[in-house]
This record gives sequence, structure tokens and C-alpha cells, in this order.
Amino acid sequence: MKDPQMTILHRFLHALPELLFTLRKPIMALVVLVTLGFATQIPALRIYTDFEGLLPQQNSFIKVHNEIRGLFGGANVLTVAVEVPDGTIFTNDNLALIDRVTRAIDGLPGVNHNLVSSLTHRTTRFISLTEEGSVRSEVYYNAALGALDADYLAAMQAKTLIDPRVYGILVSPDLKAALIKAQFVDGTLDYLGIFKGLSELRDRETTGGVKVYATGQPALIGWVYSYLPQSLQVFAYTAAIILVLLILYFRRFYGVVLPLLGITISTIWGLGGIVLLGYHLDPLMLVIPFLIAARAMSHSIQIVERWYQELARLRDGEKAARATLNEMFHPGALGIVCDAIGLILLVTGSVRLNFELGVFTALWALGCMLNVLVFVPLLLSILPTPRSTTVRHGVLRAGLTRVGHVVADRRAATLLSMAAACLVGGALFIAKDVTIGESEPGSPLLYRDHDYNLSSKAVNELFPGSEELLVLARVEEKGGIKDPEVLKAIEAFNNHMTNDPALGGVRAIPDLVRQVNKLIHNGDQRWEQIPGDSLLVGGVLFAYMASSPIPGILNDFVNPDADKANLAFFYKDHKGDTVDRAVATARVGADMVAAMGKGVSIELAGGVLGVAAAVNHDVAIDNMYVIPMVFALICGLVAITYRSVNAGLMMAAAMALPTTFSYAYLVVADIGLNINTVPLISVGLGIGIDYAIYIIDRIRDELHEHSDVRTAIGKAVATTGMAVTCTFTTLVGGIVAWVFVSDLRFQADAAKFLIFVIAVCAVTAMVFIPAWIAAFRPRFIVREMDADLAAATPDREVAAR
Amino acid sequence: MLFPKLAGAGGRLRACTAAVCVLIVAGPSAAEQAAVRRYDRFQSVIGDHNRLVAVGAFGAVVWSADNGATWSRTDLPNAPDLVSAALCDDGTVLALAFGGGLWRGGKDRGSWEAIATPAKDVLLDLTCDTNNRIWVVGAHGALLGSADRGRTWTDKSLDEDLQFLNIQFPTALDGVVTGEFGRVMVTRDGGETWTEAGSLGPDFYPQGMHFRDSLHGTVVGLGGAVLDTADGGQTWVRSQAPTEAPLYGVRTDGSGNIVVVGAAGSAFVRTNGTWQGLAGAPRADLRGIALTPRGPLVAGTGFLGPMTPSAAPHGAK
Repeated sequence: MKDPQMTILHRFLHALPELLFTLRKPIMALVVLVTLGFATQIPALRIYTDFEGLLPQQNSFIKVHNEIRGLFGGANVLTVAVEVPDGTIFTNDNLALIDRVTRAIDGLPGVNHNLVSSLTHRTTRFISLTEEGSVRSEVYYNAALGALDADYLAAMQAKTLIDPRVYGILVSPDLKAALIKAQFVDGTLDYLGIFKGLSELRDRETTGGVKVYATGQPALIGWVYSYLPQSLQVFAYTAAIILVLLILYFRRFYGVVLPLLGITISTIWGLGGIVLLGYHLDPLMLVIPFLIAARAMSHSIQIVERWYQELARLRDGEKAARATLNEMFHPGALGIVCDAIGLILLVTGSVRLNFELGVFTALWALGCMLNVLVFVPLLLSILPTPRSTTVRHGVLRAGLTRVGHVVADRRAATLLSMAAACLVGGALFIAKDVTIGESEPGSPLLYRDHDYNLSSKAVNELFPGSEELLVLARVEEKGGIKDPEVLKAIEAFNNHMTNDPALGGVRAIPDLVRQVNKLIHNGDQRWEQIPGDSLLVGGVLFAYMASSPIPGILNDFVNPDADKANLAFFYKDHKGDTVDRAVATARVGADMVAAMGKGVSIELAGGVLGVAAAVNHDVAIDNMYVIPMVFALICGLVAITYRSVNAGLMMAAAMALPTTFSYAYLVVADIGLNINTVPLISVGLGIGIDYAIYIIDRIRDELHEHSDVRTAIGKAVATTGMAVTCTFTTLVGGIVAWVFVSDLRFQADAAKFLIFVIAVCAVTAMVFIPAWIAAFRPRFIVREMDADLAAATPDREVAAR
Repeated sequence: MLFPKLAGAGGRLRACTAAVCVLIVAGPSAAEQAAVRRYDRFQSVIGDHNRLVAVGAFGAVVWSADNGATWSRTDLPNAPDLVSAALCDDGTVLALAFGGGLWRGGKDRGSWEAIATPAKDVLLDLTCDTNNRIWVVGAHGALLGSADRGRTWTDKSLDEDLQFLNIQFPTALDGVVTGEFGRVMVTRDGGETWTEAGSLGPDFYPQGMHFRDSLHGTVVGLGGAVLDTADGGQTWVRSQAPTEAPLYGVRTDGSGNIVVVGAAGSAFVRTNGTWQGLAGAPRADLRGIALTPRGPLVAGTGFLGPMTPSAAPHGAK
């Protein structure tokens, strides 16, 4: 019977499955051809990690960070610390050890040999003035001298203690550790080669209680690259898990083969699409593509499952396929669109990596509408009908039927609804403590007890104040940085920053000018001044440059045109409080400098703290917009589909539980909100909310056949609960291998978190949503009740409403 | 005696309490309120009775009326880089700016006035003699005196390519100036005439100087060098502090004991010819020393506080 209120769109959507079935041969041919076309693209798929893509490149801080790195270097710095177990480093054996490590690092591929710093390297010199004022520059350590006597070693230690360029910088304050830093040349580096050399060096020298720590970007990238082969391992485990799941679930040929075919076609489309879009596959972000592939398979499973059910009823494969397409298309399509919404909203995030991921996974998911949701029933319609049509899963179905009966009871449902409200309240209470950003030294890509992060922590503890906030001072005219008034304005900024007790030290050009001016005036403290004009400042800087044994000594401080200066502020950590305070202080300081009107502007900010501030800021913004957008779009879509505001509101309530639980999970698991977790909440909600749609849709369907809401709910939970369980287990099977196999915390945390979110969504769909429907009987559900049936068996509760 | 009140634990505790009051601050706002700030670069600290005044870069003037137990601060306008300070017997305080400016503070230390000098180049040290006459020295052999609080100046400069680095009047009549290239100038008539005394060495650069009377004085220099005179600067005896670090400041007490300070927190006391290290300062450059009833008070980069003898004695080299 035609509903006169139906719009043209609704009528079209209603008739679409039938139309698709009529056009099945051309559609199948199209899917095959497109699949072949995409398959030809796959060999061109590029798989690599774009570390730049992990940063919000549009953030002004990141732009400054990139500019500072481009102008002043420091992007690829390897930091190695050697800690001796007993005494100090000032023994012949320990100095020889440090020298060996230094030489090995100097020999790594791509090292800039002039930018290696270590107590035993030729570039590290004790510079002093003779009594008469002559400059004396001597290396600290010369291996050619052989064994050093006690007096020589004591003198070396004494020199170290009074040299601010060495003490606390290259030698730890307790004299038990030495730091070796190496900068690498720009361009494509052989990170695996560096990592291999570094690993061999550490294996060789870590003996007799000596500890060799390695941190810095080259070490991090080396570690990440070393784990990439694990992706293949994960793929193999996942394939095995999925096969076992399919066999356990169906034990039918079509039940195993067709879902595998579905996942294969969907994956070919997905990977081919990545190539056509000009994107690449990032190994760090593989969990989400795995989830989409698993999602494609779960759609296939449900279709085959439904087909077997229809086959049992209709005894005809083609009719069963037609019925399956008719019944599954609308909820399936709605579920896929919700998946795509969760995914496409990644593009609103600030990180390029998430943008690309959002685009191609959303398209990948939408592709499932044709290559799985439509193609699999069409394929089943032309395949031979099997003889056995037995539907198994008796035990599971019996359990779900019991669940259905419990949640459909109005009193139990009311209690469950209240419990859900309490759970949301409890989760909100825990979630209020969610932190933004990472608080530990090192990288969130790796586990906290990973060697890299332990190394970073050890280096931080041995050499306090190694976390940098970099700030750019800019003037319009070339050479403007040498203007004494500009230098004094920069110095005023530095002094303002120094008011923060968490600041360990400052490296900036005004202090360099003062120090060199003092040095060339017999080291007289009173001459520790900024000279009165630009020429004199230039002369001081030239004197410093000319006296240096290595080229580019000013590169850390000022660019060759002297219109930009790099101001480095050192902090002991990059915890949220430290970052917030440092940045807030810097903002006030920048305003203060602007108000001075000396023609210099202060631009924030790079370095570990600047990047952390940018990421934290953008994560907070993303979190503020992306999650509400997921809510609005999904609830709006559901409201439109069911032509009911109540339906949208119910969906919002259904999403509240997994959302609040997601944030509570982050607090309990001690994971900060970061560029990884915010997208995952979005994706998890998009994927997980499908269950709620299936349940709601099935309850409405059951009301066509059962006038009793309670029976309809019980039946819907028993039947669709199977689909939800199947989807949930498939999705978990698709990504669980990352949890156990991957040494990359980034991947394992993503998998764990997604499993948690979709588990909460599944429970919400099977328990709480039916309970809410049973308790509140929303109009958009009960209006589906067949009028004739309702008249025949009046439902008192409905009538009472 | 250098440490009369630090023998007991109570004295040490009080001294430390004073340092903590100065150095440990709770946060940016507290730091901005604090009298001593981490970015300060103190060049000089002077003491007289219970009064102490320290000056440094960025126009910082920090003073105490209770021997360093509590401190107050004034930042002079336009942030002049102050390199030296002097207390006059009339209660006024003088602060010398590197660029040639002179500042005079009243007894309350809160009000300061600028005094013009005829200096054409940088000025490096000043003193106020017992007749309240002001003397300043600096680059190009500058040696200027004023008997009328800076209104008019008498020029005794040598007009040579030479920096006069230190000036002191141990008595009303006896004054000493030391400078680059080991130059020593003395006066025995209150500054009317200046004559050359014994050289410190042709290339010696006296970073700091202090005379306890007209005859006995000490200068310090680079590489831990210490030179003493017992004849008003005519002859000098060289010795070595137990450090390779440059020494920037020296103070002698009435008994002939000296305190020296220098780079990277170097600080030593010489008592009867034996050197002992001083503890309590960070590894910062130290220059100013004032001897207070509580012991030596030291000023340097980001530090203004008392120092106490460390446990390990240093043998003199």
C-alpha cells in the first residue's frame, strides 16, 4: 500500500532494492570491472610513515616550528647518553668508552661531522683566557695521548665543572653520564641504517653495568621503521582469526567464501582508491583500514546469514536473495552512511594524516554499499541453492532470546534505563579528569616502557632541562637583529620568560653577544654588555664566528641575513602544566615586546613544547567540534530516516553511553586526548552506532508481525542480537591482532580503544536501547504496529498511552 | 673574623633563610614580585653597618636594611647596565652605569636621580671617599672626581688607550686606581695628584681590587691569579687561588683574610694563607662581595646571598 505522505525520495529509496535486483547483471558486471580496474592500481600503492603528517601543519605554531627547523636546523638530532655504574666518567676506561661511542656515532650514515658534540669530540673545547688575556682553546680529550694520569683526569674534571658549555650539557651534574649529540644532514636519511648502527653500538657497549641510552628523532623513526614488518604478521594473524571465525560461525561453504569475497573486493576498492586519490597508506594508521575491511566482512556475514534465514523460509535461492536485499538494504545502507560519517569527520581534524585517512576510509566504507551490500545478495541470487538450509547458533540464540525477554519487561526496562543514566553520570564523573596531550617524556607512538621512552626519560633525568620551547624573533630589515635596541627587546622577552621557575635556561643571541663581548674584553664581567651600535654587535659576532673551529657556529642563534633569531628556552618536561604556563608566559612576553615598538616581533613556537602546545590546542579544538558533529549528523540522519525527532533523540541517548565511556576509558587507561584518540572516538561511534540502528529497525519490523511491543522487542533482540554479536566479533577479530602483535603503542592503543568502544555500543544496542523502547514506547516505533493486529490483540500499555 | 655568626647552626639557618627568601619563588607572579630575579646580573654589592646595596644589569638596584635578611628592589628607568655601586658617608648610594651615567639614591633607596658625567666612553668603577667626593674611572684612562655631588667634575684622566678598572680610597687622602696592562696609580693627597706605582705585570688585567688600608690590598685576575701588596701598591706578591677559573671580585677584612669570587660559582676564602672553598652559590659568575656580620654575601648572575665555608679545604697551589 502506498503511503501518500511519502516523498519522492522516500519512494525512490523504498523501491531501490527492487530496482537494483532487476538490474543485477549489469550491476554485477560493473562491480567486477571496477574491481579489476582498482586491482590494477594496487601495485602503485605507497606505504610509508609521514611524520610531518602527524602534526597539525596549519597551526601557526607548527608553521613557526617548521620555519625554525628550516632556518636553524635541529630536526634530526640523535641524542645518546652513556652512564657509568661506578664513580665518575673521569677515568681512562670510561673516557675511552665515551670516545668509542662518539666515534661510532660520528660514523653513522648522514651525520654532519661538524655538528657532533661530546666531551671527547674535537669540536668540544675548553676555552679560557690566560692571565694576560689571550684566548686558549684546547680539546678536552685526545685519544692519542694514551692513558692519562690522575692529575690530568682531575684537571679535566675541574675544567668541566667551570665550563657552562659542558657541565650539565655534555656531562651530567653528577658526573656519571656523558651526552653525545649528532645532527644529521637534511634530506632523505637512511633511518634503518642509522638504527642498525646505533643498535650494534649499544649492544657492543652495554656491558658491565654501563648504560647507553638513545633518543631523538632519528632513533624514533628507526624504531618505528623496525616494527613495520610486524604489519605483515598482523595481517597473517588477522586472516587466520577471520577464517576461524567464519568457519565457527557458519560451517557452510557460502558462509565462509562469500564474506571472504566481500572483504577482498572491498579491500581492492579501498587500496585502489588510495592510489587514485594520490594518497599513501600509513603503517601507523593501519588499524582503521583493518576495521573498515572487517566491517565489510561483517556486512557480508549478515547478508549471508539473512539469506540462509530467508532460504529456510522460501526454499528458493533467488527469492531468498531478493528478500535479503529488500530487508537488508535500508538498515545496511544507513549503517554504512553512519560509518562514513564517523570516518569523513576526520577531515575536519587538524592533522593531515587524519584528513587523508578520513577521505579514503569514508569512500572505502561507502563502496561497501555497492560491492558488499548489493553485490553479495545479487551474487547469491545466481549461485546454486545449497541443499542444507539449517540455521545453527541455537545456544547463542537461546541466550539472546532470554536477554530480549528481560529487557522487554517494562519494569526491568525502567530499571535498566535508570542504570544507564547512572552509568552515563558515573562515566562523566570519571571523564572530567581526561587530560589533553602527553605527559611523559619520549613519544606516544611507543609504549611507556619501551626502550626509546625509557631512554628519553633517563636522558631527561640525567640532563635536566632538555625539553625545548623555540621562539622566532623576526625583524623586517636584513641585519636588523644586530640592532642593540632589538637585542634588548629580545632580552626583555627572555627575562620575562625567566620569571617562570620551571624554565631551566635560555639560549639566545643577546646572551651570546654579551658573553663574547666579555670574552674579547679580557673576560671582564663589566663588559658583559650589548654594544652600543649594530656595527659593534656585528663585530662581536664575527669575532665569535672567526674563532670557532667549526663552520656555522652562529646557526643555532641567527640566520645568515640576521633578520630572524632563534630563541631556545629549556624546560625539564613537557607536561601539560609546563607547556601551558610556558606558552602563556611567552604570549604575554610577545605582546610586551610588540608594545616596545622596537621593530621586532616574537613568533610562537617550535621545539618539543611548541609542538606539544600546537597539538594539544588542536586536539582540544577537534574534540570540541568533531564529537558533537558526529552526534549531530548521525542523530539528524536517523531523525530524517525515521521522520521522527524522537528517533534522533533516542540515537543521541544511545551514543551518550559509549561516548562518555570512551572518555572514562581514556582516564582509566591513562591515555591523554591526542591526535590519535579523538579520531578514534569518532570512528568508534560511527561504526558502533550501527548496532543501535539494526535493533531499532528490527523492532519496527517485528511490530508489523507482532502487536505486542514486548514480543517484538524480545524477537528483535534474539534475531538482530545475532547480527550484532556477529558484527562485533568480526570487528574485534579484524583488529585484535594489533593488540597482541604490534610493538607500536599507537597501533595497539587504537585497536584496544576501538574494541572497547564497539563493545560498549554493542551492549548499548542489545540491552539499553530495547529497554528504553520498552520503557518509553516512543511513537516512531509503536506507530509501525499493524492496526489490524493491534485491534485484534490490544496492547494495554500502548492503549494507555 | 669573616664568619662571626655562622659558627652555630642557628646562624647558618638564619643565613640560609635569607637566601631562600631571596631565591626560591613560587611562580611567575611571585617571581616578578621577588627582589632578586633569576635574570639579574649583579656586578657589585656594597655594605656598611646593616645596609647592603647590590646593582646590576637592567637597572636593578636591590637593597637591604637588615644585613640581607630581607631585600627590596628598584628598577631604574631605561634599564641602565649598572656595573658598580658606592655608599657615601652622608647616607646616599651611588650607582654607575656602563654607558657613563651616574645615579644617586637617597637614604630611603626608593628615589633615584641621574647625575651627568663628562665621560666620553664607558665607565667601569666608582667610589665615594670619606669626604663624600665621587670618583669614577673607565676607558681611555678616564679618572674623574667631583667634590660637589656631581655638579662639577675634576678631570684627572690620562687620555691613553688604557682602561682604568678599579678605584678605591682606603683613607681620605690615599687612593688607588688599577687598570689594564698592570697599571697602578696612587694618590696621597686626596686625589689632587696621581702617580704611578708598581706594575702588576705588563699584561695583567686586574678584574677586582680591594684595600683594607692605605698599605694592604689585593687584586685578582684571570686564571685564579691573586696579587697582594703590603706597601700601598709599590710591590706586589703573586699567589694562586685553588682554581683555574677567572676571579672577578675580592674583599679583605681587617685581619688580612680575603674572600675571592669568580666564574662558575668559584668562591674561596684565604685565612692565614690557607685557602678554603665557599659553598652556597650556584655555578654562576660571581663578582660582588660584601662582608657582613653574618659572613660574606656574594652577588653574581642570578644570585645574591650568603656563602659559607665548604667542608673540604683546598690546599694553596
